[in-house]
Amino acid sequence: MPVTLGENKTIARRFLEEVFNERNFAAVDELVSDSSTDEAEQSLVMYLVLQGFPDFRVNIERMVAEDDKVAVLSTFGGTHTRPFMGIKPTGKGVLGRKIDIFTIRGGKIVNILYNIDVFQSLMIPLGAFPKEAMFAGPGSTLPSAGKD
Amino acid sequence: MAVTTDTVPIEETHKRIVRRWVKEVFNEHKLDSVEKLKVPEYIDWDPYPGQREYLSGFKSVLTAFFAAFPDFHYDVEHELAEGDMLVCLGRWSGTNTGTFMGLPPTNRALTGRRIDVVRFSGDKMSERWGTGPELQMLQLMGVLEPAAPLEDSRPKAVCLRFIDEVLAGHDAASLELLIGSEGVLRTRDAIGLLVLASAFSEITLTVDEAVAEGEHVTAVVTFSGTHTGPLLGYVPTGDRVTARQALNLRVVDGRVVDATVDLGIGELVGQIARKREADHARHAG
Repeated sequence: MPVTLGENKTIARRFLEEVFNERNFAAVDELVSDSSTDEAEQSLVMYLVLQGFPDFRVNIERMVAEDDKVAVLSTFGGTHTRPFMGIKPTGKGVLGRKIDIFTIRGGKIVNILYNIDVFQSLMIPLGAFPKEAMFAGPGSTLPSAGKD
Repeated sequence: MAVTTDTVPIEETHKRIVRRWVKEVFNEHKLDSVEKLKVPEYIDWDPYPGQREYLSGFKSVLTAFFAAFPDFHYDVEHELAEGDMLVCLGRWSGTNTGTFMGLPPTNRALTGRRIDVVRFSGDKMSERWGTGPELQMLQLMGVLEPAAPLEDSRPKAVCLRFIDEVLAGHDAASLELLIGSEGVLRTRDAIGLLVLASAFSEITLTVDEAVAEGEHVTAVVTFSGTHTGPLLGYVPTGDRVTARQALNLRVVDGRVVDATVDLGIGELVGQIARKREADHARHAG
């Protein structure tokens, strides 16, 4: 039976909401192929993020699917309660952007590429870098991810 | 799939426009093409820090990047399109031979992998969202302390540093140094690592034994962590738990390219569950 783009989107959504957000393995066998791989660098970046922000969760905004791939555009939220990239816990809540690409074949995930905006969404709000030092100087009023 | 009157799928038209953007703006550094390919009321949902206006502000950002990285180049790795949305996975690279944000040139070759999503309105881009961890750029800007250079690139030494600095030390610069850009992890292991990272703090990893055979390394490690975060519906218990596990890693040219890194999440969850059951039994008794 051919798998539709809609079915692939459901699998990606279920993975992020039931496995990733809930930190729960229960649905893994159903959603993920035994031989599935991740892009190591990006998953390990997420390993550091979840260590620093234990309550990290994504909120799915849009999904784009073509062939065997589904891209998921999300915002994320989390609280900085443990050290993260050299910054001591600040207790601050952050909101930011995340985009992940899933490859799905025969109704199961076979590859995950996570991607997250570290600098703008995490380092600047935590005070690791003055926003004013970049590009246009002080006075920018443009919104950024999650702030609107 | 939506179809235009001349039967070219609209998604193909959008891919052509993005390829033109990549060629002219990112690779030929023609800033005049920005307005040709984006609508005047274009919205960037993830503008660069300090960027003032969406279109002219983005041109200022590009001017700064191109001055700092005169050979700035972007390669599309994959694109997927559906309706008015298009997603582009790509890698940028450039050599820092010019001044960047007042910092003197380092002459270092930098690269980063990122995903951008654009929305089309007619034949122009009208919105954009984007992400990239940009670990090398963070080091260039001094936001991240650079990792100590790799003095011993033999597989066993690389693995020991990976275990100590990345898995136990959560060091982003070491991650960037020690993980090959094409490196892979089993998805199940990665899920285990993510669950473990949020569930446990005060993580320690001791290497009990490490054996290298060619590019393959097997390391037996003991994980200890305190359960202070979300875990399968268990509220944080404060339990200190320990598991011993064998990791298998493959190292090529001083970088980990393939890893089986189950730190024993199943065993750790089991210990917490058994302790709760024992507590319940005691209270019930």
